[in-house]
Amino acid sequence: MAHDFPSDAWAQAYREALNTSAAYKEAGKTWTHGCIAFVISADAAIGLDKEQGFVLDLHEGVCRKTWMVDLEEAQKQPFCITASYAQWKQVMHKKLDPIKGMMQGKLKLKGNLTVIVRFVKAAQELVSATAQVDTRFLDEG
Amino acid sequence: MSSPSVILDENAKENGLAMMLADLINQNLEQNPAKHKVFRRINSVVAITAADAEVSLTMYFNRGSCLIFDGKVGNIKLDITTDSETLLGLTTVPLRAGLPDPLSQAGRTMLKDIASGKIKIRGLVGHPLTLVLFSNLLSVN
Repeated sequence: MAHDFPSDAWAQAYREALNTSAAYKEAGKTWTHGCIAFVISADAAIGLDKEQGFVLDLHEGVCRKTWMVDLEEAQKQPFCITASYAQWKQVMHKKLDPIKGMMQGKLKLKGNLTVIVRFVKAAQELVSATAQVDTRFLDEG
Repeated sequence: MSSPSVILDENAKENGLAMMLADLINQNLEQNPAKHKVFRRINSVVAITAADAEVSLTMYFNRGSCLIFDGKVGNIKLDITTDSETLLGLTTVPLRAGLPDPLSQAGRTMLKDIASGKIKIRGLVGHPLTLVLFSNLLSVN
């Protein structure tokens, strides 16, 4: 069943996808640095009248929990990545590499970079797992 | 927290790579006081290009301060070009005497990348000390 992105149902399906990814489990096995929030910028044209985000509680290759948050709550997390809906969609379709996107300023990361640079592979596997979620995009009717 | 030692020129504030390197170096300096000594020794101009992301910047180091400009500007002493993922790899590779450690797998890969031209470094012969200090400053190890 397809889930709207973003939504709590999508976030829960994503958590399940992450927890069945052997590649993520391996790449993230030494991650003990806390939660990562993903924020989608407001876009009235597709019905997002304010920023929406979700938090992944990641620990040693496992996503323990995920939940929807507003911008303020997202920014309280140790790591927060923000991008427009179109750019998240490109990332999920693997048309935009997240590292390249950050260097181009399309994805903005708040958090300790000295930690994140050690987990490039895990970040890539986080993105790969989104492909396992049956997703309905808001701009596709 | 002290004010950042690495700052962005106005035109570099939308350059994702510039934001990342500024954050990385500032966080490194904050977390590792020994890096201050290295930072104060660099008096040079270093350009970095992430070729696949089509992003470049120039860092003006002046013994304890650094100003980052968008694009390649001025009298560049050391000019490093590679892809975005390899560029991030430069921050995590184990160093020996300030250069990639040939005794480690990651260090050997990095040295191979330099020899093969995957990582292009112009100015290495004329400014080896700048490369050693810059590598040390970027390193999160």
